[in-house]
Amino acid sequence: MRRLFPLLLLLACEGQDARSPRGYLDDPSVRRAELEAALWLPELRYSRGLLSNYALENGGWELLPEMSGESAPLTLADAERLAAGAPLTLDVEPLPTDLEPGETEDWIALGQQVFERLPMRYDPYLTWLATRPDVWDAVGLPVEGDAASGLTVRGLVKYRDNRGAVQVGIACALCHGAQNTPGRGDRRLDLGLARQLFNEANHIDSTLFTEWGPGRVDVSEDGVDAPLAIPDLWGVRHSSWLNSSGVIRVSGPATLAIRFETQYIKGHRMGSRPAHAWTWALAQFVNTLEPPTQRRAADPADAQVFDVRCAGCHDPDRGFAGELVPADALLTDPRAANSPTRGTGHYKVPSLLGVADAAPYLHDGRVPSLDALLREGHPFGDPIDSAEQAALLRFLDTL
Amino acid sequence: MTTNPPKFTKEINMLTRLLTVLALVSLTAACERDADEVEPPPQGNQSLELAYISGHLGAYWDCPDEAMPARAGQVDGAARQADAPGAIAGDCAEDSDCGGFSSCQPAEVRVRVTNDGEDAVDALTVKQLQLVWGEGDLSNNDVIGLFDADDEAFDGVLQPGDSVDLRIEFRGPHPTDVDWDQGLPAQIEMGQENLSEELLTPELQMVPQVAT
Repeated sequence: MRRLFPLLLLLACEGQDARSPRGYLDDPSVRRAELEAALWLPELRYSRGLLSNYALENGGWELLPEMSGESAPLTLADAERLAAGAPLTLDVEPLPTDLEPGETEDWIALGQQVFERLPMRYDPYLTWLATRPDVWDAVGLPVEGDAASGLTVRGLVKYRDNRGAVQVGIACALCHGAQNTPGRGDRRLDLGLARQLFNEANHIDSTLFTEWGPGRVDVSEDGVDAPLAIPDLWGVRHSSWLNSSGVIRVSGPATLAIRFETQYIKGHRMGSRPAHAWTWALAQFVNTLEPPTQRRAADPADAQVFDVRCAGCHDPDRGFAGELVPADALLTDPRAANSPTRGTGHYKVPSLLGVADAAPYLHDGRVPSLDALLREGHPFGDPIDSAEQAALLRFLDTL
Repeated sequence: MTTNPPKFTKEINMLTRLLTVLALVSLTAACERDADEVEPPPQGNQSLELAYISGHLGAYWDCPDEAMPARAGQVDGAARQADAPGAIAGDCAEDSDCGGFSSCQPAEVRVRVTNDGEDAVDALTVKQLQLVWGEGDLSNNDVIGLFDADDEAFDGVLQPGDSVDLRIEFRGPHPTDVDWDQGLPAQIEMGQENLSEELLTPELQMVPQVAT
């Protein structure tokens, strides 16, 4: 009974997720049911690709070998070794896989390690990028740390692959860890430029990636450049939908863990998979992220304007996030909503937590400031006068 | 002591003649068969079980010449990239700035093969790999190699009761032939000379170029 108590306690506290952590960790049928519930448009290519491979009764990605879990931040010394043509070396303990379900703080701590260290993706262009410190500033790759503890390139990691070789990958922290703040989207990072520079250096004639620009990436994999702004992650735990188009419906932390798990598998070209403990831990960690800045209290009059004008979509009880809105009802670029691979015809209403520090705005980052967004017209709803705009700007600064 | 003749002597004689005629006819027919039509002798109790693990259609955007020839043969629109000069490492001189970096990757399917028979299988290989384009529309794709979990070329030996995870590397379709919302299943036949087992994979897709 003493062993069961933490599990029962966690079950009682989970609320939103009726299933136990052990269900996700140990039971493929639980993961399968969660996936099927999440992919509400199963005919989309994105959905089909997951449904035909993930948590199958016999075979599929369950049989993939587990990633080694041996990984560490890439240091300047590593980059110099690579540039000199020497192989990378790695001598670290692998990420643990044996936490008990009740140890919540330990799960969150492990999740942070996963966020910072576990390679989300392997790609030769990343290895090339690691050998070219002369382009790091142009593409917004931040060098962090100090000389005493060692300078590292945030988000670039070295890891041992399943063949035993040490490779270069990217961790979550590359795109979502700006300013030393886990969860902060990086507005300077220009991975499109990095890909273009790689293509030029390797004589690849490609027109993809040219529209990206800083702080934007296209994850839709449909042959059309429709880059989206790299988001902050504060609102994830409040959101009922993942991806701008809401292709995934969230029912609890297991949905988020599955989303992460399948990203890692695809990022490693369907050759290995992360331990379920790591993706569960990552989901726990991401669900704890909060905007770092303490805000002042809102003026009730300003809050009243928000309630009248905005709360119908941006629900204050859900982190100011909301449901899906038809793309054709919005005054914005519908391409991402209509992607042939994962388009739903909708955009999700994002959370407004930390919105004052989240410029640029809208799903594709086309609006540079909140002031411009309200002055030039929010893509949905009735026009608002200048007094209401001022009240809303003050209110949004408190979120 | 008297010996009674067996009963049904007449019937037994007739049956014997009939059997003799049948045996002669069968022997004659067997002798007239073409040598190619002779069934191979049984090889004992051999059996394989195949389970799909994963697969993809490769990454050929930067090296379309390494893919199968284009079926449609179109060269405009989305095909523009595929007409670009190949960026495979082999195209670069050793002292050039290509540096050996290539985003290209052959197509592959991973399968778990189990020998659930009683005899060893000693020449296990991929007998055929076809992509399924539609009803009745198949294309034979070149198998590049068969590799084990250590990425070593598989030696073909599988003892009874053993399983092995194998990676079948093959030449994937030309990138201009595969629509973005399309996937292609692969039909795979594995075995050895007198042993075959087939597997139909789920639809395979191209390697994603971004973290999706």
